[in-house]
Amino acid sequence: MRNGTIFSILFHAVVIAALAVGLPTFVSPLPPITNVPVELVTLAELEAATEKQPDPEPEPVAKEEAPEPEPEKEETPPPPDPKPAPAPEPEPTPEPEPEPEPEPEPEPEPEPEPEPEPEPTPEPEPEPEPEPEPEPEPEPTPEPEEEAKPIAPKPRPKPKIKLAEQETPKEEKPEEPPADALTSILRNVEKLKKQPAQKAQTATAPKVAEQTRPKQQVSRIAQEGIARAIRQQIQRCWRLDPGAQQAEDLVVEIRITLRRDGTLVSAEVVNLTRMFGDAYFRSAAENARRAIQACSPYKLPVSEYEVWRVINLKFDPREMFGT
Amino acid sequence: MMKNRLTSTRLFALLAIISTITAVTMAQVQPARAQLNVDITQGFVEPLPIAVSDFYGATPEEQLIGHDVAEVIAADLERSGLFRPIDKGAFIQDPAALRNVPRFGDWRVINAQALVSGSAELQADGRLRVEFRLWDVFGEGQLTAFAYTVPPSIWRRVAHIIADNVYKRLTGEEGYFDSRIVYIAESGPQNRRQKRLAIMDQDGFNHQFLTDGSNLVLTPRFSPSLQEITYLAYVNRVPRVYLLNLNTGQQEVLGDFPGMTFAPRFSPDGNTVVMSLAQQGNTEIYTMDLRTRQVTRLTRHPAIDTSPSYSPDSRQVVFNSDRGGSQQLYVMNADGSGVQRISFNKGRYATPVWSPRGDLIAFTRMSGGTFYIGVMRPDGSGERMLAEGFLVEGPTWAPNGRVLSFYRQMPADARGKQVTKLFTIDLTGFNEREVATPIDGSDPAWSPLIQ
Repeated sequence: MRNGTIFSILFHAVVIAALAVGLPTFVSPLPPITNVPVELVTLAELEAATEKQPDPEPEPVAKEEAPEPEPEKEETPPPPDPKPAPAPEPEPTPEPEPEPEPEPEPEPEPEPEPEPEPEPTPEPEPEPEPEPEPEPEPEPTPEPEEEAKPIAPKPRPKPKIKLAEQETPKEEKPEEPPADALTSILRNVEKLKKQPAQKAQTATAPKVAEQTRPKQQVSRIAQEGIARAIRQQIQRCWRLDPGAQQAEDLVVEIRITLRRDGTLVSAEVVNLTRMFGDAYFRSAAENARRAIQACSPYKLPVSEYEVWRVINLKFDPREMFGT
Repeated sequence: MMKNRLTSTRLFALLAIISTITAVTMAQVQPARAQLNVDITQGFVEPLPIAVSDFYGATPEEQLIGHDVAEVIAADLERSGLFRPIDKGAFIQDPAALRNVPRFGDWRVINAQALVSGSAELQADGRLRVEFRLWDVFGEGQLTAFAYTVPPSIWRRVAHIIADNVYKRLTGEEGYFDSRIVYIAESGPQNRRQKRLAIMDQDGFNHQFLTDGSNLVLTPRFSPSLQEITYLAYVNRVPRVYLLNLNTGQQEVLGDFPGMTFAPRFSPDGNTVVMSLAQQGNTEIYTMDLRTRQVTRLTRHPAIDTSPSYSPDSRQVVFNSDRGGSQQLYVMNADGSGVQRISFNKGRYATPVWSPRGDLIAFTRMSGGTFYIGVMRPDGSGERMLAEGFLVEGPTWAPNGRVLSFYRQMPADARGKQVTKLFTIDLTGFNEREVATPIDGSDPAWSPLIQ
C-alpha cells in the first residue's frame, strides 16, 4: 500500500515533469538497442521441443528416409535431411524472442500504442532542438537528379515486356474506370499504349487548393504565388509509394516553420495521434517530412516572410492515385 | 477493494492534470496569425536511396560476416523495388567510425535518406551476435535498432530479418524477406519432363530438392503455419493431394477420394484444406478439416468449379468456374452460399489467389493468345494486368501482399526446347525480376514469414 503510493507519486511526478518540460533528450551517444536472441534451433532441438505440430508422431527415425512414405517409395533423401531443411525453420522454442518486433523500447519502433508514455523520439521535437538542420547554407537540394525529372508518374525500372502485343486497344473492358486512373503510376500492361495523354494531364494540373485568410493584408495573388512556389519545390522531393495499402487514404498534414533564409525550423505532423496508432500513416507522414527536410532551404520572397513563416502543408496523394 | 478505489481516484486525478496541461500547451502552441495552407498533390515514384554500410567486425572473420550481412540486406531491399542501395564506394564514414552516432552530413552529401549500420561479433560461446541500427539521415535520429544472437550458420536469415525490419520501419508494412519459396523444379525433354519439389529462400539461396522426381508433382502450396506443404502427386497415374511436413519429412495422403482431387490450398489458419474433386465428370469444391478429416462440399453446380482460395479472414472463397459460359472468377461465402461473379473481362480467368493483406485477388488470364498475371479487388473492380507473356501462370503472394511470384514459359526454340523460369513482380507492375533457380522452375508457392 505504502509502496504503491510512493510509486504512484513518483510516477506522477515523472509524467508531469515529462509533460511540462518536454521529453528527455537522451545524451548517450547511441540510443539503446533491443536485444533479440533469435534462438534458431537445430532440427534435433526443434523436434524435441516441438509439440505444436498437429502430427502425432515426430518420428525421428522415420524422417530419415520417410520423405515420401507411400506415394514415392524411392529413397528420396532430400526432405528428411535434417540439417538443411530444418535450419531455416522457425523456433518453436517457448522463448519469447522469435521476431524482433516485440519490444520496441527506445524508439517508437513497431507501431507504438497510443500510450501517453513519453518516448525518446528521435523525431523532430519542436523545442529541444531548434534546428534540425544546423547548416543553413544553401546546400543544393539533396536530390539534384530529381529536379531534372518530370514530377509525376515516372515508372522506374523499365517494363521489359511491354511490347508484346498490339491487340490491346480492341479489348474493351466493361467497367474499369479505377484501373484506368491508376495506370498512371500503377502499371497495367494491357493498357500501356493509352497512357501518354492521361499522364500528361495528371502532371500538368496541380490544382490549387490553398485557402488564405481574407483578413491578411497580403493580396491573394501574392499568397497564391508563394503557395505555388512552395508546392513546386516540395513536389520535387516528395517520393510516393504507390503500392502501399490504401495509399490513397494517407493524407498527411504537416505544419512547418521556416526561417527568413528559407531553412527549416520545424516540421510537425498535425495528426500526432495517428502517428502512434497507425504504422502506415506514420511512414507516410515520415516520408512527407523527409521530403520537407530534403527540400530545405526554400527559395521564397523575403519581403513576404510573414506570409510563409508558418505553413500548413497537406500531402494528398489521391490525385496521383486517381481517386 | 479499497485499493482499487484509491487507484482509480488517483488515475482520475492524473488524467485531469494531464488534460489541463495539454489544454494549456495547446493553447500556447496555437498560432495567432493566419496560416498559409498549401496542398501538395504531386510527387514522384522512385526507390528510396538508402546506404547499407558493411557491419563492423573486430576480427577479419567478423568483418567478412559483417560484409556479407550488409550485402544480403542491400540485395533484399533492392529487389523490392522500393529502395535503391547506394554504392558503397561513395561512403565517407567507415564501419568503425559508424559505431558511434553517424555524421549525418556525410550521408546527406551522398543523397542517402536512410542509413543502416551495425556490427557482427562472434561470441565466446560460438554464437554470432549481430546488431543493427536504422538511421533517419535528414531527421538525424535512430529509427529502429535490434540485436540478434544466433548460430553463425544462419547469418543469412538474420540479414533477411534485418531487411524486414528496415522495410517495415520505412514503409509501414510488414516485410517479406525472411520467407521461402517452394516450387516445381523441372528438367528433361518436354515429353519426359522430370518434376521435383524444391525449396529455397525467397532470394534463391539455400536451395534444396524435396522429392527425387520419380513421380509427377504439381501445385505445391504452403501452409500458413509454414511447417507443411500440400501438393498434388501422380502416383501410379492417380493424382492425389499430399501433405508434406517439412520438419519431419512425413508425407501423407489427404483423404482417399473416389475421384480425382486437385488444386489444394490451405485456409489461413492452416486447419483446413480447400480443393476440388472431380467425380463422374463434375468438378466441385470441397473443404477438409485437417484435424477431423471431415469433408464438406461447397459448390453444387454442373459446371466445373475449381482453384479455390480463401480470403485472409476465412470468410470467403474465390474460385473459377465456367458456369457462365467462359471460365471466370467467382467469390462465395466460406459455406458455399452467396456465389457472385467478379470478373467480366474478355478471355478466361484461372488460378485466383487472395492476397494475404486481403485487398486484392491475383489471377491468371488468357486472352487473345496472350497470358496475363493480373490483380483485381475482391469486388472485381480495379483490374490491372501486371505481367504478360506467351505463358505466364501460377501467381503466389509474398507474405506481405506487395509482391507476387509466378512462372513464365518462353516459346519453344527451333529444337523444341522450352525454358520455364520463376519471376517476381510487385504491385506497381514495374519491378519484374527473375528468381534464379538451378534448373527450370514452375508453380512457385511463397511461404508466410518464418516464425
